Amino acid sequence: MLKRTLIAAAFFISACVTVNIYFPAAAVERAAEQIVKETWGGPGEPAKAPPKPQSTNPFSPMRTVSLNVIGEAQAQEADINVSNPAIRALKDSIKQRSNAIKPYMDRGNVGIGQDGLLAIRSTDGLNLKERAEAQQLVEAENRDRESLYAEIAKANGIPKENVPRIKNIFAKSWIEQAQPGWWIQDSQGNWRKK
Amino acid sequence: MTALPRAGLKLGIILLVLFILIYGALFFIVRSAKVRTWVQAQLSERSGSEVRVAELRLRPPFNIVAEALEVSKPGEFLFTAGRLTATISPFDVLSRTLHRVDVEKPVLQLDLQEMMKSPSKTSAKIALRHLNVQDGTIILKKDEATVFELPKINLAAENLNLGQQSSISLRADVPRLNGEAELQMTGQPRNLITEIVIRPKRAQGLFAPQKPKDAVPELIRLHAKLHAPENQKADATIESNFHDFVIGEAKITGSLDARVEIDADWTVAVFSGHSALTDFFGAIRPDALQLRNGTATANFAGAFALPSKTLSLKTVELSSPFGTGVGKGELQFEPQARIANANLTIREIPLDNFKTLLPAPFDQWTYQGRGQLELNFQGAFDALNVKGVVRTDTLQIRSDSMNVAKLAVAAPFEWMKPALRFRDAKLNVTNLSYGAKDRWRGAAEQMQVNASVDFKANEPLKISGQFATAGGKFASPDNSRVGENLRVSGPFELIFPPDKNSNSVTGKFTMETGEILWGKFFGDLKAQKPVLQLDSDYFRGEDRLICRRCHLTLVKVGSVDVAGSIEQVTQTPALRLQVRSTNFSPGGFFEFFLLETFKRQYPVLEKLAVDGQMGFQVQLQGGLDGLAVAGELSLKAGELRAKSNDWQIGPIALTLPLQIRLAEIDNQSSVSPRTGTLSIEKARFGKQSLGGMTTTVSLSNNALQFHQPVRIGVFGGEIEISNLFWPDAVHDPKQVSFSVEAKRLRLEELTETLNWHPFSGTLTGSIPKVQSTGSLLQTRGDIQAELFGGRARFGKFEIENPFSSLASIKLDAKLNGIQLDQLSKTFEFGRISGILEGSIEDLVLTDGQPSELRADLHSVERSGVEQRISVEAINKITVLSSGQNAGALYGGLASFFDSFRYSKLGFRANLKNDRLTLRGVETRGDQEFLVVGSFLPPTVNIISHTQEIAFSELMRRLERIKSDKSDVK
Repeated sequence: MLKRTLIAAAFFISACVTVNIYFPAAAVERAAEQIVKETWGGPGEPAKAPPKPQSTNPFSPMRTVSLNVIGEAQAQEADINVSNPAIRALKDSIKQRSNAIKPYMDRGNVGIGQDGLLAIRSTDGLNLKERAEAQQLVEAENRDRESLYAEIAKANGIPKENVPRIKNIFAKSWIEQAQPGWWIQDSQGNWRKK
Repeated sequence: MTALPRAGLKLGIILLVLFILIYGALFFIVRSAKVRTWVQAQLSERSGSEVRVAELRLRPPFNIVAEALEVSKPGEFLFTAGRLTATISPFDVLSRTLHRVDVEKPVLQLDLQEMMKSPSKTSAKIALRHLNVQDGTIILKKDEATVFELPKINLAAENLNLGQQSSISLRADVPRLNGEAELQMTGQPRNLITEIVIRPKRAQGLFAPQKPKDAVPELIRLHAKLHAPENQKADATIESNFHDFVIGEAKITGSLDARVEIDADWTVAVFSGHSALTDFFGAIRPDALQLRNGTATANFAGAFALPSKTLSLKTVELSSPFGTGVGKGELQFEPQARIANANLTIREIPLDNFKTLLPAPFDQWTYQGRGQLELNFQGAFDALNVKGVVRTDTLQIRSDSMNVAKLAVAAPFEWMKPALRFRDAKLNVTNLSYGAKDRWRGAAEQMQVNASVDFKANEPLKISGQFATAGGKFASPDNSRVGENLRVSGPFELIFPPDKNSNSVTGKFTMETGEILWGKFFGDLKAQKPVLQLDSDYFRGEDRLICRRCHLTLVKVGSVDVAGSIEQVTQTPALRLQVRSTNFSPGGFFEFFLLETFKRQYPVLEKLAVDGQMGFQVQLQGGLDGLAVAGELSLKAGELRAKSNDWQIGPIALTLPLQIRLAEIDNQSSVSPRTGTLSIEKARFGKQSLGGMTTTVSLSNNALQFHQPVRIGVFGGEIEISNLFWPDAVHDPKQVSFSVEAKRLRLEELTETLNWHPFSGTLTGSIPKVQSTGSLLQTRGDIQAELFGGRARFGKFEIENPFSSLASIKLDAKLNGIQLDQLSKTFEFGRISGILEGSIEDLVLTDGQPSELRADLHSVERSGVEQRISVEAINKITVLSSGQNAGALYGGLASFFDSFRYSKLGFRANLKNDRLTLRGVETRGDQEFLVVGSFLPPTVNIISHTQEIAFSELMRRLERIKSDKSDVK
C-alpha cells in the first residue's frame, strides 16, 4: 500500500510541470501610458535635480574625491526601460509628427485602429496633396510605432514573440488617451467617435 | 409513207414557202416610202391627228418599229417618240389587242386650254397587254409657255383597256407595285372627277382562289375633282389614302388631302393641304428602326406660279412624335428642277427616340432632353445642298457606367452629295462622369469640344478640332490612384478609314493644371505642364496601338519620345517601344517623383539636391510586370550635393549601357556585359576637396557593377573602393557589396571636415568585404588609425537601417599606446600624461549617440613616461562623474599644486538602455577608483561610489564641462 502511495505521489510530482514566462505586462502598461502621454498627450515630467556629492577633507595633500550619484533615470523610470537613443529618437519622431497628424485626426480622416496603429478612415474633404500627406504620415507613424515596440522589447530583453503583446498594450493606451472627437476602431472593426 | 402524210408534208412545205415569201415581201414592202406614206395617211385620217414617221420597218417576228414618230394636233398636243415598237401577236389580232408597245423617249406636250375642251369622240377601242415607256416627258403648255414639265417618266403597265364613250376607264397592271390600277375619269374636262385605285394584284391561274374585288385592301385610293369654269377661277380637291404603299424600301400608310385654286388665266395655283403618315419612321426603315410608332402630320400651304414654274411653300407645319416643325421654301422647275431656298426647323425632337439609330453601346443609354434641327435646302435635286444646325441645350445622358448632367450641342453642318461636313460644332458637357464602382472612374466638371467632321462615302471619316476639360478627375477602383483638378486642352484629329479596322489618333494635349495621387506619389502638375503629342493608329480588332511618334514633355523633368506598338492595350498591355530622351533632368525627376514621395521615409532626401542632364535611348519589350529594358543611358554635368552646401559631388559624367528586367532575372549570364564609364571630376566635403575618379561600369541582367576600383584622393591620403557590385539593382537596390581601403588619411583634415575635435594622426586600413543585405550593412576586416601617438583598430563595423532616420552603427575598437597628453589636449580635458590602452566593444551609435558599449580603458606604465593629472582634468572627471564642480574641494595645501601624480587611471564602463555602469580601474570594497594616486605626493585618488549614471545626465555633464572650461583652471 505504502509502495503504491509513493508511486502515485511520485507520478503526481513528476506530472506537475510549472513553466514561468515572465512578461512585464503592468510595467509595459505604465510605459505605454507614459510614452503616449509624452508623445501625443503633452510634455513629459520634469527631470529631477541630482543629489549633492559627499563632502571630502579639503586639507589633505592626498586628495580623495568621492563621487556618489543617484542616476535620474533610475529614479524616474518605470519598471521597464523606455529610454535609450533609439527609443528616444522614435519618441521624438512620433512627437514631432503628432502636430502634423492631429488635424487629420480632428477632421476624422485618420483614426486609431484596434491594433493601435493609425489608419486612413476617410478622405472626405481632403485634396490630393492632403491625402498624400495623410497617407505618408500614417505610414511613417505606423512604421515608428512598430519600431518603438520592437526597441522596447529589445531594450528589456523581451523575446520578439512578445512584441505583439506590447503592441496590444500600447493600442489600449493610444485609444484611451485619444482626444474626444477622434475616431477609434472597436474590437469588431467598427469605427466610432470617441 | 402513205399518201396522206405525204400530201400533208407537201402542203406544209408549200405553206412554209408561202409564209417565207409573204413575210419576205412584207419585210421589204413595209420599209418602202409608199407604204410609210400610206400608213401616215391612214393613221392621220383615223385619229384626226397628223402622224409622221421617219422610218417604218418590220422586225422579226411580228414587231413594227416606227422611228422618229410624231403625232400632233396643232393647238392641242404634240407627241414625239424616238422609237415606238408595236408587237403584234397573231392570236391578239382578232381581239383588237396589241400585245406590246414600247416607247422610247416619248414627249407629250399638252395645251391646257385645249384640255379643258370636250374631248373628241373616238371609236378606237384598243387593249394593250404590255406598255413600256422609257424616259418619257409630259409637258403642259399654255399658249407657247411651258406650264409644267414632268421628265424622266418610266412606266411599265400591263393589260390596259382604253376606250369608253362618256368617260375614260383605264385598267393597268403596275408591276413595280405588284398591283392593279384602275383609273376612272368621268365628266367633262371642266368638271372632271378622277378616281384612281391601286390594289394588290390578284393571283392568276385556273385554280387560284379569287377574292371579290372589294375584299382586297387598297394600296392607294385617290379621288380628285376639278372644277374649271371657263374664264373663271378653277379649283380642285384631292383626297387620297394609301396603305402599305411601297416607295423604295418604305411602306407608307396615311392620307393626303389638298385643295388647289387656280386663277382664271391659269397662271397661279394656290394650294393648301394636310397629310398624315402613320408609323412614320417604321415605314421608312422598318427593318433597322425600332422607334416608337406615331403619326406624323403636315399642314402645308403655298402657290405655284405657272409662268415661272415656281412652287412657293408659304408654310409647312409638321407634327409628329419626333418633333414639331415649321418651314417654308421655294422650288423652281426651270431650267432645271431645283430648290431656290427652303428652310425647315424641327423642334422638340425627343432624342431618346432616336437612340436605336446609334451603334452599341450608345443605343442602350438614356437620353433625356429635346433637340432642334434647323435645315436649309438649296440647289438642284440631284445636287442638293443642305445646310443646317443640330442643337440641344439641356440633354442628359445616363447609362450604367456613364452620366452627363447637361450636354449642349450646336453643330452646324452641310451636306452636299456625297459629302457631309460639320464645321465648328460645339459641344459643351457639364458634369460628365464615367465608370462603375468597382472599375476605373473618370469625371469632368466641364468639357468643351469644337470639332469639324468630314464624311464622304468610301472615304475616311475625319473628326478634328480642339477640346478642353476642366475639373477632370479619375480614380482607380481602390482609390489609390487618383487625379483631380485636371485641366487638359489641345487639338486633336481622329480618322476612321472605311473598310479598315484602324483609327488614326493625332493630337497635342496640354495639361494646364492637375494633381495626381498614385499610391504614395503625389504630383502637382501645374508647374510641370505635361504635354502629350500623339501620332498613332489604333487597331480595334487586334486591340493594338501603333505609336508612330509620341512625345511627352514635363517642363521641369524633360521630354521623352516614344515610338512602337502596344499590344492588348485595354487588357494586359504588352510593349514594344523605343523610348528616347536627350534632355531628361535627373534633378527635376528627383524633385518631382522621389522627394515628396519618400521624404518622410528617408528624411535625408530633403537635404539633397540633384542636378545634371541625362539622355537615354532604350527599348521596352514585354508586359508591364515583366518589362525588359535595354539601351544606353548617359549623364552630363551631374551633381549630387547637400542643400546646406556642406558637401558636393560633381560634375559627374556617365555613359551606361543597360539591360534590365522587371521580372525575375535570368541566371547569371556568361556573356561579358557591355561597359560604360563613370567619371567624377571632383567632390567636396566641407572645405576638403577630393580628387577626381574614373571607372568602368555596367548594368546588365539587373546587376550593377563597377569594374575598376574607385580611387578617391582625400584627406591627404586615398580611399579605394573596389568590387562595387549590386547583384540586383532593380529589385533589391539595398543589396550591395564592396571592399574599401584607406591609405594614410590625415585625421586632422578628416575631423575638421566632420566638425569634430581635431585629431592628429592618420587612418589606414582595409575592409576586404562590405556587404549590405536588407537593412544591415556588415563588414569584414579592420581599419587601423594612428592617432594620439598610438594606434586604434576598428573592426566588426556594421550599420543597421543605413538609409533610415534611425541608422544604428556598431563597431569594436582597440586602443594601444594612446598618449593621454595628446588626447586630453585635443578634447580640452585638462592635462593628463601617461599611456592609455584598452578596448571598446559592442559600441552602438544610434541617432548619433552611443546607446550601447562595453569599455575597458586604463593607463599603462611605461618607463620614462610620467603619469600626472592636472587639477582641471580632476575637476572635469569630477564633474563628469558626480555632476558637481570640484573646484571648492581643492583648498588648503592642494591648492599649491596644479597637478598630481597617479599610479593608475582608467575605468570600465557598460552602457545599455541609457544607463552607464561605471567602475573604476581598481576596486577596494565598494570603492571604485577612477584614479589611483601614486606613492609620492602630490597625489590624488578619485573614487566613485556610484556605479550607475543616467546617460542623459552624462550628456548634460559633458555639455557643462564644455561650457565651464573657462571657469576651471
